[in-house]
Amino acid sequence: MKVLVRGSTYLRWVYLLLGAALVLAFILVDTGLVALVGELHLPRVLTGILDALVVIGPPVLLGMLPAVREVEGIAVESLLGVRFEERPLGPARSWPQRRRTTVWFCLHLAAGGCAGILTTAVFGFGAVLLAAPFREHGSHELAPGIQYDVTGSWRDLWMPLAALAGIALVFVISAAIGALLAHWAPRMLGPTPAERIELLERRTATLAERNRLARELHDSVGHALSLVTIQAAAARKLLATDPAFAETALAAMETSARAALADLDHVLGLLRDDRRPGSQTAPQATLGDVARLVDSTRAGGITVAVHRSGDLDQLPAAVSREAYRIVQEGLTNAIRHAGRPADEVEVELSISLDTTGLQLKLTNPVTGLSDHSGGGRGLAGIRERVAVLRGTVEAGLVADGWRLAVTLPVAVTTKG
Amino acid sequence: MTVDISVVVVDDEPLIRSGLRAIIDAEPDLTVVGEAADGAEVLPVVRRTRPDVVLMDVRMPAVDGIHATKLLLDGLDPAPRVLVVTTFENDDYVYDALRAGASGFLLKRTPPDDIIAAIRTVAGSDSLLFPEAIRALALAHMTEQPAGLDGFQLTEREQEVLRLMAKGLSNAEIAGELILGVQTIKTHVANLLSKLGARDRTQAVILAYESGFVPLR
Repeated sequence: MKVLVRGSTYLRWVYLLLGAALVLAFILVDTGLVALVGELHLPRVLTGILDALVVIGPPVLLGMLPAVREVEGIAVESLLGVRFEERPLGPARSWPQRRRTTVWFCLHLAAGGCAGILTTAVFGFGAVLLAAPFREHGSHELAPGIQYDVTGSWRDLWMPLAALAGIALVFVISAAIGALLAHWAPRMLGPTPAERIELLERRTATLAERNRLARELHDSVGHALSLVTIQAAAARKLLATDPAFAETALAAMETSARAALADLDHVLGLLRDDRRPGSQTAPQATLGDVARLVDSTRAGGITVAVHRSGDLDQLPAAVSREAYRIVQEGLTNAIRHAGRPADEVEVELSISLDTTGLQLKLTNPVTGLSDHSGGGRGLAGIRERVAVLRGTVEAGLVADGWRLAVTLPVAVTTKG
Repeated sequence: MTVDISVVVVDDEPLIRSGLRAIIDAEPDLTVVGEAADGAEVLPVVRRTRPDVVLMDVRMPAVDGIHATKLLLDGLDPAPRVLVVTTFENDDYVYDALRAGASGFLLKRTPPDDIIAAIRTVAGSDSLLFPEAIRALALAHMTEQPAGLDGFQLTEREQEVLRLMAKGLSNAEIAGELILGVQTIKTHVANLLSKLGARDRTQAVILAYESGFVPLR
């Protein structure tokens, strides 16, 4: 009888009683409605159908509410001790999920109803039987038609013993039903294989995003600390001979340390916020800044012809940011693989946004392939970014050189 | 320290450039003769100023330090010594830069006196800069099947010299070790560099590690 000393037994019983309480509420409604249906004096079959609808309708309609999955999830987790993959279990998001939740809800009601009846009966009769040996001698009625005799001798002992056994049985049965429900709960309330894949994909995307944020933080804080180190070293050297430089250096250190702290604060905030990973990243370059990137590339003697089409302001900020980085890495690759002096390199860049998504095309001449045999790190970086956004990458030799083509799916709405 | 050393500083961050310039210019024998903000600007600046040493940032927006190093070393004769400057020690690009012909690398967090010493070492070009760090980098980038150096037909003497170079010994120290004249060692070094097709000691030592000629462990 280990079941009786386990805490989970009583939690499961409480879960069933919750169902019983709901059943009681439904019964109160049902009795009134069934009485009304009776007054319609319809043919018997029709009355039967209406009665069934009155009984089944409310729990089914209630079970369809998305929030029921959330509530049942909490109850099942805390009272039945089930651990769901998705935590906490959210409201139902699809019709199949709603249907399965409804079935579960009805199952909860049915099991709760049975357990409720059993509990009421056993506790009711049990109290009477427990008290029996102390009652007046003679015949008593337990329930209509069920008599028992109080004799005042040891033969009365069966009555309290039977009561205790009955109460124990309630908990054993509750534990068994609860175990069965706990076994089914993940299948009924938890995600289906398809939903599980979606969940995993979402989690992977979140992780990739977090990884990237962490990497960027590492880079930006490392950069700021390097700057502070070098400026501090320089200031220390020139403190006596050039105090004006030392002062400028101190100001620069202050500014960059402050900016690094702000960045740290911001990114750590994002990493801590589980619900909206990367929803607002630090003000980083977006496609709007491509002109500046192209200018700085031109300053290096590389000609970049840019073609733009579509309203790029419509792009979600995250896509625009990633697109900028892809262009940046693409340009770097283009220059690296050009295999000739920088001033002879002509790169063609086209950025277009339409209903099929955002297209980035970068074409550059290639002559000396031997130049960087270990290349492709930049391309790997691009593939990584594109994968996170579920886009496609094509890269390879074409007639007029090396061509990088990236498509990013975009739902064009107003900028959020 | 009678010969003045001229330096060009390349970094996309102006404050890093000004800091390095101040540290370097504070030394009587060192002078910063030019600056560049991107790898793409390096070649013209170096052509104009003809420095002994270029301090080259690895990560820059348009043309990175590896490619700029290659441009410099392929495009100029004599080429300046390149000292790659980086924020992080485990930066993959550092090894690429060394293979591309950079003579050594510096962390941005290196104390100023060590930065100065590194510039002087590289300019003097008589011994390997940070031999331990180069060994560690080679270890991290070890290939599966070392091919050996048999194809290069080094004499036994040259092999001995190469082993000692990997330990970071200068020509004079190698001469002492092998009981030979410094001039003889210089000839051996020149011969083995040309046999290996290496630009300088750093490249030769990396080749020695990568080929398995000098064991990494």
